[in-house]
Amino acid sequence: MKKQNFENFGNAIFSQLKDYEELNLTFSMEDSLFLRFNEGKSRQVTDVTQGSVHFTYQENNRTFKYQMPYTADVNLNLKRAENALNICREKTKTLPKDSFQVPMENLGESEEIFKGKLPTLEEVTNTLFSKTKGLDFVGCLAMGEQIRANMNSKGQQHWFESENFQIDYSFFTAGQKALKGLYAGREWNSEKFGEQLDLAKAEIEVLKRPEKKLSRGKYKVYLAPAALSEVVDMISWGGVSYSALKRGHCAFKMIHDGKMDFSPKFNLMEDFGLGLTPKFNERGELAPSKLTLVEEGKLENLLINSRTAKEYGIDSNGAGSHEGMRSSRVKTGELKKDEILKTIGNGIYISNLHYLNWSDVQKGRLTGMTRYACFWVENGQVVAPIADLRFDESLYNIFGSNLESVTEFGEIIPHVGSYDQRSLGGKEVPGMIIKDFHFTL
Amino acid sequence: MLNKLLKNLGHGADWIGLREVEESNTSVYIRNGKPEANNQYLDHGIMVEVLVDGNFGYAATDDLSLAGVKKAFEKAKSLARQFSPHKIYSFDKSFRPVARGKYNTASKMDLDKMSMGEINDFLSLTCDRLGKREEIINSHAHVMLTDSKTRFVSTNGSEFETNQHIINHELSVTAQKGSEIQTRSWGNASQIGLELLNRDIFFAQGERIVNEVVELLNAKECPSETMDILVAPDQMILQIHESIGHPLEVDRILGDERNYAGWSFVNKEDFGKLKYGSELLNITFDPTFEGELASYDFDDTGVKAEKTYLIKNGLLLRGLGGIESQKRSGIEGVANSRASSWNRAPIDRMANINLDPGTSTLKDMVKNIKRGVYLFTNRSWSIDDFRNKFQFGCEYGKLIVDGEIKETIKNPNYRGISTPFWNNLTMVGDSSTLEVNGTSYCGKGEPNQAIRVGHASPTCLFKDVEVFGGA
Repeated sequence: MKKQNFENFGNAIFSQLKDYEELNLTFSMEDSLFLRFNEGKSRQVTDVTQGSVHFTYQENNRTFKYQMPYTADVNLNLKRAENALNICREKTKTLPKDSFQVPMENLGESEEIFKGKLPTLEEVTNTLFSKTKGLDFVGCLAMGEQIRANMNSKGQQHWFESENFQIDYSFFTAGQKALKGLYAGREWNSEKFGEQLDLAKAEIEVLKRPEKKLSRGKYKVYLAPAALSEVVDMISWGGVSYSALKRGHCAFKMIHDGKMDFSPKFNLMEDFGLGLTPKFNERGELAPSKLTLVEEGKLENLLINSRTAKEYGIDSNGAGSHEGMRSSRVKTGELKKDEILKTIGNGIYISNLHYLNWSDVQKGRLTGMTRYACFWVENGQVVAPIADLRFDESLYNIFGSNLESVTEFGEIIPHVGSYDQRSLGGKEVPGMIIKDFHFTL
Repeated sequence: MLNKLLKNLGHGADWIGLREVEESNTSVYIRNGKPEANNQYLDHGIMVEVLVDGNFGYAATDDLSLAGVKKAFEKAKSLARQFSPHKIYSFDKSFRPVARGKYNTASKMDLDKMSMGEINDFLSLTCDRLGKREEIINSHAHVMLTDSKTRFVSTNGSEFETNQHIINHELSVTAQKGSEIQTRSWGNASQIGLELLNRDIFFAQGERIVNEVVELLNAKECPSETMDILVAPDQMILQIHESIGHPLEVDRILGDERNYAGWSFVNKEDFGKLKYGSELLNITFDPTFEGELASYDFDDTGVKAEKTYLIKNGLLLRGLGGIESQKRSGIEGVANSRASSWNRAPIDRMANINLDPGTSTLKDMVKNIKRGVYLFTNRSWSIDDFRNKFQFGCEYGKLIVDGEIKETIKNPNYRGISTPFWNNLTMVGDSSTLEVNGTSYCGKGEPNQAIRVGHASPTCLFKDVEVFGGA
């Protein structure tokens, strides 16, 4: 019904276009529940029903973009859209020519629908609050339906629909140490989530040991998948963008220029086989199912969208407007799970990192903090949780000569962000052992 | 319209509030003299807020028909009731005081007085001047005009409007010489009208950043040593924001944010006792500052917004907690329960957090420095989840030796720990050094919310800070 309504909406607007006009519509909708909890109790509960349609209007080499709400009221949507089309025409008249405008094409059709089995409110209540009674449990449940769709006046049509849930949570000890967890998927299973909570309750015991304060310096570390995920997010912030390279804000510039290499153990790709996000971008262009970015330490590709391609006279590879990774995968290695502590020997097990930023983007150097369950390991045994440390380290060390081993397993880490609306996408990342990781404060 | 909707919703709640937000964002982005983006985004919806069984429930909808809002009302009631047995605190109607009034940005020129074409012409002319040096590899000029209207009504008689005109603007240049690449920028966000788009000011600022970015290409690396730092207001904005604003948010102190934004090193017992900074440190929550980005009359729970000291002569007095956090924590707070838009519930936010000017002239402060750096314009920011260990980087620095400003230095960074750092505040610039800055993108909350905050500050001098350069 929603798909049909959107198609009818698009066709009604396209039928009003003149010969020299082109229009691309990108549709986004969610019906989400957010339950925020603290100290094992409900803090705030919010239901959000929202939708929007993004118009890209092109005529006579001029481009204008407009966005309006898209609601359940079909007639109101059409009325607003007619007004939107008039605004597009009026505004565009006054604009200069767009040198890098990409003409619209029919790039085909696609449909992906992932129906889920979401929990009832009773199931949420029973599991969340009964299983965590007496514990300092904090976080947020987000669940519901998300839709992304695209149509253009050349006949292109894409639809992506997903019902899913995420419980992003932490358990805290009286000593302010915490264990972070995420239960996410499409098929809710109270038993499985209960088991995950039981495991976390057992694991939190080690966090109650007295904290170890480490002095600044270089340590061998294990970056667990959730920690490595934060570093991969940073790469996505201009690191693999062709336009960022040309504009002077690319953390991969040195490897691009052949001045640095990564370790052959580091392999990075876009892999839409993870099924976490649509393959089509805002223009409805389909990305390849897999695109290698770094292979055995060598840079193979940067992400290029069609506008960048037009500007620099190169080929696009279906990237989104920001040329960031939407569904990344870091290839696994050979390190077995039960060998991680032994391989660390004397060093730090880092479960999570926090608030990363570039300290020198041109040299690929970044800073950030350890967070949650991070442990001092001695002779291959967990000794104590550590006091948080600040690191300042180069990507060329982390993924270069200091990368000792990569785990044989990876974890799927969905995006849990919800600025404006719930995010889609995510990544699959392994853990890594890195020597001489530099802590500065 | 809102009052009519409210009257027709029906019963079943102890209190009902409707918050309608209608916002238009018009954005023009010129890069290397050519149009990169011309956008207008319209957002419009209603948050239905109810109090049932001592619990607030929220349901947001963009369907503004009576049927749509009624559906949201039923959802909000059901959620409030369902989770009431598990609520963290039992609320009542006193948490939503009666508020009546109207706030308007004091702008001189309405945001619709220039066409998009005219704005394109203005920014293209500015951008053309940015790209004239051969070293410039990228330049851009950007403005975003925001017309934001919030209307609030409630069953206990509240009826207020907040109408804000906001402009975000930025000029930026990136230059390259060999393998050296540097960026310099100028920008701000404030409540103002189109009078902001003054050609003389934009051209002068553009010329300044072009000259400075070229200087940086030939500059020495920032030295790595412990020394004094003289911090300009466009870096003070981040310093205040990250190491005073966030730690004082009472919902962080209560632990609501521990799974995302983080906790705080500040404890409930610290208010009235903690020596947060030196005696020169005076910090206000001031939503009455005309033109500053987060000025308003009432927060989103209807509490009257007033100027209040958070830190006086270095002593921590009051937290950044709205009416709900104040009761939950017992900490005195302010009117700062704010939602990013109609689709989010209000939480504790910063609004305008300002540092009072002192009595020192810029000349006096420079004279007092034996060896130090003068830091301008934030480019990198990171701090731990308790808001202790920070590291910030700036676009541009000047070495100061024996009381004199010397050569330009590149890649200046510094790190420290919040309260020791603020206790090393040695001199505070007078009002001639004051600038009012703002950012529209302060992130926090689950679900996530990006909100507008302002920070007015003079130039400040800090002693004995760990400074370092690039790789």
